[in-house]
Amino acid sequence: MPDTTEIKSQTPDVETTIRSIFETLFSRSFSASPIERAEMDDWDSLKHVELILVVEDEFGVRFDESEFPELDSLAAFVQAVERCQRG
Amino acid sequence: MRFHHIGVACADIARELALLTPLGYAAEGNLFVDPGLGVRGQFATGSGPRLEFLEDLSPERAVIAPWRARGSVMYHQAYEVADLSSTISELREAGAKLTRGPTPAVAFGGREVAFLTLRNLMLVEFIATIPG
Repeated sequence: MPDTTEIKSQTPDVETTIRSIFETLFSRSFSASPIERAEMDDWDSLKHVELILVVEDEFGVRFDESEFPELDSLAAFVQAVERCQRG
Repeated sequence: MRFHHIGVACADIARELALLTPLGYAAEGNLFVDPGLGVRGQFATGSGPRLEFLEDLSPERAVIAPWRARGSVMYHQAYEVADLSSTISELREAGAKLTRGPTPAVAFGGREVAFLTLRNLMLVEFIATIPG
């Protein structure tokens, strides 16, 4: 089995990448805090779709529309991407 | 597929319509209220394409406000289609997201409508030509 240790260490993890997407789309830093829709007035329906489309494109995945309401936090996005990657 | 209208997000339908009166626009039909979609609306026709002015029914259910917050006034375009299901399938295959519907719409006598967001965030409404 090939040693992938070096490759993994050079690849930003899913959470870091998604956090960066959130910071870009919301134009502010979230440091290490949890990010939850219920706490954010500017996470409206339009921003929600935008987040989904950008995360999908970034990771080359597709979320089912039935999942959309559940994608209400950074953690939920991370779990959804990892679920897609596992196939 | 046949073009039907451009949806205009606004806070005051009467005011918006009055602003376009000098361009030849006038109300088409009556003001309608659609509790299912959470909007109040008014179609208008004039020298340009048919417009649909829309405002939120209540601030607690913001359907229109997110668009207005970004300065998007003309926020969706609408087309009539013979087969709503296959249109939705084709658009989803191309990566669009079904963001609302299919659901009956008061504005179209109960015919079904569906809203899809293209991957460039353009919102498109499709209206079934035949009642569902």
